Amino acid sequence: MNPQRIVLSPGMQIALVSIIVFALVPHAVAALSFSAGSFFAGEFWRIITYPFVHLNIAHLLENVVTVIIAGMLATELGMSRQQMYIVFFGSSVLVALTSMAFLPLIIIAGASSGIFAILGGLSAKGNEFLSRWFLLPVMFSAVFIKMFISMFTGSMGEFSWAQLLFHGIGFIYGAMIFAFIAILRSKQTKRVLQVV
Amino acid sequence: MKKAPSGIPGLDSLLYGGIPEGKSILISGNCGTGKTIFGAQFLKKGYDRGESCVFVTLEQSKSRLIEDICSLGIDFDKMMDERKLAVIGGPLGHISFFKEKTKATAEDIVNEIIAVVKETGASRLVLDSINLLTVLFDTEQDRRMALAMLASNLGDLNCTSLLISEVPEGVGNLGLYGFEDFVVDGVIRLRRDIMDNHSVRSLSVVKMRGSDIVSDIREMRINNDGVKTFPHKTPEVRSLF
Repeated sequence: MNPQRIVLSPGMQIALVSIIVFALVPHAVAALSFSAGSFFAGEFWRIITYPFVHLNIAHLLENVVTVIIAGMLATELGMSRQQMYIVFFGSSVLVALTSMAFLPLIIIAGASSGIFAILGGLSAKGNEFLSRWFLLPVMFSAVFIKMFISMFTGSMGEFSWAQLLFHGIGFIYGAMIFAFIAILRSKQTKRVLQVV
Repeated sequence: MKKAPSGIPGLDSLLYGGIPEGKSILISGNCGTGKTIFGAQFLKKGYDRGESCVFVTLEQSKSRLIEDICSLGIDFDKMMDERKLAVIGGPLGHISFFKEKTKATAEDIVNEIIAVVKETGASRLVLDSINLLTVLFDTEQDRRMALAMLASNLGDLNCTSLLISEVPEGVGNLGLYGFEDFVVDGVIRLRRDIMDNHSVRSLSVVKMRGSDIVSDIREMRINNDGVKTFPHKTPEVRSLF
């Protein structure tokens, strides 16, 4: 009898890698975060590694919890593992390229733009109970949660508009990537006999 | 015209060499006439000749089918491991469930069969059974169009296909709906009759476009080695019907 394989969800995998990088990679922020300068200097790997880098334990915990929740929500709405990876990494790359174009001096690190991309992707998907036209505005409002918290706590001076921007465009890229995948799939032969 | 050996001992002499390549053949028979075994032997012959094959099952699960066929000494697992055989499908209830889940249409399922043949480069296909495939369609016109499309596309891919058709005992039709034998290129009828309390099985080649055939009824047997035809033996049958 084969032992059962334990398969981690994509959200848990991303969380686990982030924890491992935080705990075991020395000077991870310097080595793996993304900036326009480092990219043009030939350090192209940073465009893929920056989502796994976190500045401090609070940043790490915040993203670990939210990526697991976002992954669970996406799974519940029927998003496949493959779709989640494509949305997360595709959006992370696009966010990095966008920051290079419009905010070249900013250094980016952390999984949050990818997490908002997953939220954008699952919102674009929807299902028979939760329409995408309901989910898109509701989930997009999560982009502004930190801003509202800062307003209520009177700490707008510490609030990062760049972070809001990256979260927002991450969400939009996630929705767009998912919509693109869905259009491609609708043109492919549906597989029933091979998945039964 | 090139012919594909059938893999059924004795049958190729009735077909003057085998089944014409690229043709779709209806294997029509009532219960217990060895239709599935017939199909498995056909694919095994293809495997022995180095050909890729596809078995589409709508009757039973893949694992149960492989187990049943293995009991005849045909190792579907080995053929699949060597990527010479693709077994797709499952019980119709499961197919209907996944069809709903993926919002696939019946046409998507027919297209999927064609896509699998293309992707695997299969030159032989068995579909067990055509009755259950046509259940997925709502109207007789849709069923006929689907069967015609399947046969035509498989022919274009030069895939010789056996489409198994279950016919209830006592029914004169060669297919459940009565049109199947008109759409396909060939028909081989398998029968099981009773004589003196014994089952007597027989086979006849009813039709084969583009090829000469011996159309007389010939005795057929099923044993642990599978289906076998006696090309020179006419069964003495006193049919109940």
